[in-house]
Amino acid sequence: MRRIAGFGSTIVLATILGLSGQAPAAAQAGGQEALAIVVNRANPINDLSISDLRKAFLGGQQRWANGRKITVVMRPAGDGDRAVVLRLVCRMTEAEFQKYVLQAAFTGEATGGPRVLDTALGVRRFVFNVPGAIGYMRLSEVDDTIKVIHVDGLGPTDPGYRLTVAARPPGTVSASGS
Amino acid sequence: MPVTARIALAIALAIVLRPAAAQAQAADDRQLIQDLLARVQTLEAEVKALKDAQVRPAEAPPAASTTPTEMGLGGGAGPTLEIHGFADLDYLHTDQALTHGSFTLGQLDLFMNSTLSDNTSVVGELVTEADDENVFHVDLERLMLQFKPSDFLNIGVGRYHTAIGYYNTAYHHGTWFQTATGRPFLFQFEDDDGPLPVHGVGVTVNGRIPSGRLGLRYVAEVSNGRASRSPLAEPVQNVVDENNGKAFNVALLAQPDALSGFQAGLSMYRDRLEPGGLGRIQQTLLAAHVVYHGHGLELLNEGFALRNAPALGGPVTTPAFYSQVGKQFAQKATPYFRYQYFNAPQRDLIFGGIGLRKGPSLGLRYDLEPFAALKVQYDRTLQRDTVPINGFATQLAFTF
Repeated sequence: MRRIAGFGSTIVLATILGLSGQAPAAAQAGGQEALAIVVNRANPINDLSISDLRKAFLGGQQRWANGRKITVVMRPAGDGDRAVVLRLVCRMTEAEFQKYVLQAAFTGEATGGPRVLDTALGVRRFVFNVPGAIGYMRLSEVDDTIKVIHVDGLGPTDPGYRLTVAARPPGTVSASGS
Repeated sequence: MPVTARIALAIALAIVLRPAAAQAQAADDRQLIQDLLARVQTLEAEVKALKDAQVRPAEAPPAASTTPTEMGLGGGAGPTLEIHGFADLDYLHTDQALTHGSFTLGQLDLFMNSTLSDNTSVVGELVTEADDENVFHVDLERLMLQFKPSDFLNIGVGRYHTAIGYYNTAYHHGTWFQTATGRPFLFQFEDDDGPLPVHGVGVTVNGRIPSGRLGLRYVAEVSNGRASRSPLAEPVQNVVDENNGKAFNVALLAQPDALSGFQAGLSMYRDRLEPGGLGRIQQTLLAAHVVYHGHGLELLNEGFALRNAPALGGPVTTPAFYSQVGKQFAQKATPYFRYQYFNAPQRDLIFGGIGLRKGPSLGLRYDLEPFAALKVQYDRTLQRDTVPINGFATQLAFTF
């Protein structure tokens, strides 16, 4: 009984690791994981400066160079990855961002705010389906249905890439439903 | 993860619920392990197939078309109307003669916007407020259809907030947005004897100017202008213009990339006024502003030269400005200070009756909740040939 139970535990552990095996590979040194900026694969843009990214997320720029309307998709308030994007890209707190979005609608500069989706899977699907969409997700959550762009000339795996979040502990899987 | 957990649970249960296997011979153990491994492989294959089906939608290639989601037409049932409410409740007291401290219902502002298509949207603003006789009135403060085919061209038609200076378009009726309890005197609404035409009925065009990191923007507006023939007339000419002359306003703004939160701008507004019995007056309103919002700091500075040139007699210029500084602490408390100045020469046919108004305001805004704030403010207003007025205001401002 004890022998079989021990072997069973090994199988369980191996199964868990096997099904969540992407995260450790994408994690960077120092317990950090890159936060990828993702766009629709049809979007010709490959690189944005951090200030252009800020304009896109804050509505200062509402069209891509090809004329497509920029549609920002974000995770809900309270999400850690969103807080990192607000701090590093928008340079705002959550409260400041919500006030900014409301005021942009109020002044007529922008209609509505970013689309909010609960899961990385939802973000992937949205970006896949909407040609002008832009969003973010952990590099381990990216697949080939969407395109990762460079920020200030650096890709998520390049040294010096600025958009990083704390890596999730090995064996844990995002509550995102990814 | 839930699928993985289910697999683990299935295996564990299989082990626990088969006590006979624990007591079997080694051959039976091996058989059991092989059965379990086979089962795990089957389940893994099923999970992979399910995940692939979820992640890879079966739609046409991404670039195929603009989707309803992108156009903001949720569910394909036509445009949706989004409504935000702004309101404030106040207690006001001054030491001015014949006034009494009063609880005051502020404005109830219903702001509406709707996306009609990828390029077209509507904004509207309906405000209910009581007058000095305690009688409520409902005003359509804004109704504008906007067509925005690119970042460089945004055309709005209807009633809008005139882009004179900064404060008017940034805050307007949304009391919750602004740090202080009230607007600077310069930007008081027309029906509160404010000197500027803060609303316009006509066409407004704005957009980016290709200027790289300088971040230049333009605004050009043409409207009916402000009524001038009778002081009793509704100041905003919503339906009928008193003359064929239109009011024009142009503005140039800079929002440099290197200074996030900084904006500087210039604007010039021109109109022809025809106050009863005083002949024609050419009005030119020049404005400049430098503002900064960032790191919890708010700096607002605006200066004006308000010039009225009658057909008979020389032009008269009224200088005016205000400066406001506020700093937020702990994302809750924002002490602020404002000084404002408006000095109309008595010979000015339009603003002469206002004369001099200047003085400081000192206040504290405390954000009780993300969308509700309590403000307290002290004002001291000096006017020509009268004693200074001290005022105290408390305000609960919120959005919903």
